[in-house]
Amino acid sequence: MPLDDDAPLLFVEGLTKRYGGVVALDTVDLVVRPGEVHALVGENGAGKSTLIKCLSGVRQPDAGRIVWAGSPRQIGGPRQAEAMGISFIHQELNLVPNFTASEMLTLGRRYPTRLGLIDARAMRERARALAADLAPDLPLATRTAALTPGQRQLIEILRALAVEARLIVMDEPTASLSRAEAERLHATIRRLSQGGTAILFVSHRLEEVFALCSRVTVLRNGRTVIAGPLAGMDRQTLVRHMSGAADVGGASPARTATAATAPLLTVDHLPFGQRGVPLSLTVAPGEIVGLYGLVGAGRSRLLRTIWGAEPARDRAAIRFRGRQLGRGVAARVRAGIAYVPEDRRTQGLVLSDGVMANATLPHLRRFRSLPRLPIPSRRRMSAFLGSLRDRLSLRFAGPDAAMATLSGGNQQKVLVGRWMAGEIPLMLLDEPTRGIDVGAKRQLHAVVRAHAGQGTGVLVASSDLEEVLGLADRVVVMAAGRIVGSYDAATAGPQAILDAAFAGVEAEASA
Amino acid sequence: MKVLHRYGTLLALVTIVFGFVLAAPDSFARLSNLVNITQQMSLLAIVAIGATLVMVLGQFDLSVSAMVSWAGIATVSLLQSGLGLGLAIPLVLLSCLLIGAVSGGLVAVFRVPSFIATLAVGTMLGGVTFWVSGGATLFGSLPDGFRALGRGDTLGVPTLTWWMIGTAAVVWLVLDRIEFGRRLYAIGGNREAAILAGVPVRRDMIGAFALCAAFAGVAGVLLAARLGSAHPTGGGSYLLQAYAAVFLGMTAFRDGDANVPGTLVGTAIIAVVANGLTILGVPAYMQDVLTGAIIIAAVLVRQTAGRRP
Repeated sequence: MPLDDDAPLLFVEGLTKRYGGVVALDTVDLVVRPGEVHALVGENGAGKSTLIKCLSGVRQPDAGRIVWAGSPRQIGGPRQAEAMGISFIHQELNLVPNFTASEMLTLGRRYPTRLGLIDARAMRERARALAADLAPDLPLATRTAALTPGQRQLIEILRALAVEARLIVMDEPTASLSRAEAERLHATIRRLSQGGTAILFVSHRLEEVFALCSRVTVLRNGRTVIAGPLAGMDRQTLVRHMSGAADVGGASPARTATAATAPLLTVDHLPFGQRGVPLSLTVAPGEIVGLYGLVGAGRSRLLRTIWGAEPARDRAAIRFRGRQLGRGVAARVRAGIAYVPEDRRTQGLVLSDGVMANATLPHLRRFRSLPRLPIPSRRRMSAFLGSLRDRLSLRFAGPDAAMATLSGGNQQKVLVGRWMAGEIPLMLLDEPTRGIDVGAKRQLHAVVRAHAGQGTGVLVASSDLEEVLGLADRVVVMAAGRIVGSYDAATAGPQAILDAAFAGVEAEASA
Repeated sequence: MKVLHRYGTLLALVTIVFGFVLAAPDSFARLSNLVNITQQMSLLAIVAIGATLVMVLGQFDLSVSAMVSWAGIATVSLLQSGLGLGLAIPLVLLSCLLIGAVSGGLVAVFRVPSFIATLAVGTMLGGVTFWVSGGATLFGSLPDGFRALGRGDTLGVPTLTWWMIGTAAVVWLVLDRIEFGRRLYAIGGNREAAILAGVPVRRDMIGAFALCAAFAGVAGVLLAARLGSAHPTGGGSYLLQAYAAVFLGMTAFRDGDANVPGTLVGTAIIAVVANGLTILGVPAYMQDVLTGAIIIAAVLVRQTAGRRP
């Protein structure tokens, strides 16, 4: 028996997953032993989420194998994973908003019945028993929509714990928990681990990684960088493995600073984030400012606020060319500002519409044949589309081909290109190259640099550290809705930036 | 299969027409009957084309029937009280436009589901119509100029057919050639993306609902002109048939989006089936059964063909 204890519970070997031309996982290895708390860390986009999706059966790996308790398995879907004894605490919560906490905790389990009808009291009892240890204060009769993010997260955790699992995968379980709630979760994790349950623990809070976990696997760019015991490793070493500081660096070409001119965009003490801490930021003409942060840092929200899509708590705090902008998105569009949202499919494109319709949507007025009649000229629109095709090497079947039929890279090119019907003084880009192939990425970077060279100010949020360092002149680091550092991209290494991002998250956790 | 997928609805119309031509070569296939069908379908087509504007947004207007009834009663009441044609009709259409804008406002600004908002507005409007008319059919003492709007021929074609052609042309231009129409398709396709691209989503949605109501109003005025009278529930049958036409049309031409040519084809199918079966002596309730079956068949063909990669 003691020999068996050392045999791995989960053994992942050479796991590879591609999305189109993008390699999300590249021969990843992972070994989790029974009863251990195993940390899985890496910066954004390192492949953690994809790995978890392969383990839960939501995605099927293209190559490699998963060995569970000694036998190779193919995990067809979440139900099969659960039947095998793996349960998951997901980052994005799957709650029914109009269910109460106790209804949510018993959903999907066998309901207790009396005379063939659901026994509501027994159900509440069961929920109460389930929550007793970890969340004694959870208001069980409250609808989940009315709960705090932390309480909702606790429900998700309790649901995962209700299954008798041999491995629990926890994806950022403490991100929205209060300090007391997190500590109770830590105690639960330790108890589970002593009882022989293995935990795969994903967290950006390195403090708790060191406090809880015995071994660690570090992912970077879809590869396993290092795997081994945490004892004897310090925080700096861990961050260096994540950032790959050893083999990055010196990649960004030197650019001339343009800070002397008056700023194009000024954010001046804008109350921001959950606690409304004042946030300040400037972008000068021709300057590319990178906005880096871990998931949940508030980058997208900041860009949306500047874009007028979300109400600013102090509208006068955002100034463009020294003047306050009007309310709403339309005022930005009129000022010629460009914006590329984070998720091109849900926020950017009208997938059912044609390529030309999408490319001309924000600046339809510019294609009128007669300036006073709201009739767009098809000839002018297709001329514009043609110019985009040449400038961005855009590939599509025809002007009316449905947007959904284009590749991710070409879709993204349309989203950037549709602003190029005129001068662009300022670009707000949110994850402009997420999930697209290397060629398209390079091309979009070239477009951004070319615009900056002609005086366009650029504010680009990205989860990709190499992109931020390669593209930006200056990198601003955000954590929990605050700016926690600002770095010269030419001199700051990836480690300093990642370190600032992690330190910001930890400072917030202990606040 | 691809042809069936793309032009299935149009093929269905051709097949149905052909079937009736074979079944009743002497009565159905006469030119005068075919012209008659265009007249019979005209008012339904005008309502359905209006509903198409709202359907492009992915929304419903369930108040179109009530709007048709209201417009008829309001026009006849105003005319009987001595108001001139040139004033009565614009006033009625303006009232429809405003009521539609209210529905649109509820949907666009307060995010009330359009199903509920227009059901409520339609119910209220039905009550008001009943109140104004006293629950009775209004008829008599109408100017000849008014009755001419819905009767007789112009250049050998029924006047009502001209109204349908005019409405179809205008709305087709609006949806296909004007900035407003392109924005409506964008809003219907992805509201969030439209907002982030700076489209005035609220204004456009309110505009679409207002126009939809106005076209239902036009149909109501023309119905009263044709009959020389107005009944407080005169528009009752239009709601379901109009949406049947729009749905049939969505399976044609624009690949899943509501569109004017499609709606016209959809309306034609409904009208041809009704006309042909009547000529063959099939009772009216069977026509409903068949129309419903055609809608299901059209959607099924689309679904199965669409599933192929």
